[in-house]
Amino acid sequence: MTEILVLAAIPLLLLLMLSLLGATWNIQEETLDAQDGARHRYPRGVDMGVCVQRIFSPEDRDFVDRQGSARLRQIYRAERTKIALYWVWKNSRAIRQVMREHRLAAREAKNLRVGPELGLLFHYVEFRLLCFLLVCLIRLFGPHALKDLATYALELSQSIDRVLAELTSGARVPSAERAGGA
Amino acid sequence: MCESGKFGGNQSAYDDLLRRTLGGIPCDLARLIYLASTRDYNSGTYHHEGLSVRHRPEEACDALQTAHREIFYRLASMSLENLVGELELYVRVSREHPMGFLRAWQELEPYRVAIPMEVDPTMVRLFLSNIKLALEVLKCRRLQVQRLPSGALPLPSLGR
Repeated sequence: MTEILVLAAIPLLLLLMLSLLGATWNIQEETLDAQDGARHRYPRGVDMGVCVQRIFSPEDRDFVDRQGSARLRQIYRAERTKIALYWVWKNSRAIRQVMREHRLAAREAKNLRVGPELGLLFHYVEFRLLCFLLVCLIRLFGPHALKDLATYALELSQSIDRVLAELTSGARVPSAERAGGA
Repeated sequence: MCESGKFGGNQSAYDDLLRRTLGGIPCDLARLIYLASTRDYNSGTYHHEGLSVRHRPEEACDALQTAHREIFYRLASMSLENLVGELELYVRVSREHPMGFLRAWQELEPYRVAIPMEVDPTMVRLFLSNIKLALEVLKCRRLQVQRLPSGALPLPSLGR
């Protein structure tokens, strides 16, 4: 009986966490421009890994600590928390948007491949849970102990991007071949 | 924006810009401000008289735009400690009174107009936040020096 209850509770818990994730953003939501929502979300020349390392690295915090000013420390913590939350929010929102586009496209598709689609869904749920975890931990402890987790979230979002690109190109090839053969 | 909107065709205008113009500017922050000043605020296009004479105007524009973005990304991903160093050097080069400079930059935030177009919004936030913090660090240091009694200051070296 207990096992059944646990098994039933897991999806409910997942759903609850995903819905909470949408409600935890406490930063001013901005209209994402077309660039943010596009598949290639990062402009040319940007290494987002470097950006993430900078936001979540303890190096700057240690430097601020050495200045010996409580006010400066306070400002620093508030600033970095805000930016870290913004990064998680932006990344999460961009992935949600491409997934929504993919879902709409998949509805129309006739040659849907179940395996890769399930893999993609698994990655997406993992990514959303990770974002939720990041938001909670950033709020509780600040961003500085979360460099590895944030880097993993970035890698996961990039792999979702890659899989989506492959699925899209895979869906295009047979139709192109059909068109060529006709 | 530049006509081609993409750099990569002619490298010589870019190299020329790096070597002749930007090479003579002492720090990246000063380079960023300089490059932003070559941009027309109404159209977003870059213009550099000397570069346009030696190269085609579109190439000059592309080179300026690329250099502007590159320097921006370099500054945005820089450690806070290095950025404070950049800002300190920029204050020295500007020859303004440091406290007056810090007050003006904190109130007017002129560094906001130095941001290139079409750059990552997270990087923009990180850059703005880091500049704000660097200004605060410099101000904090100045105030600490002012608060020190004269006896706490290091003695001047008599041998020099």
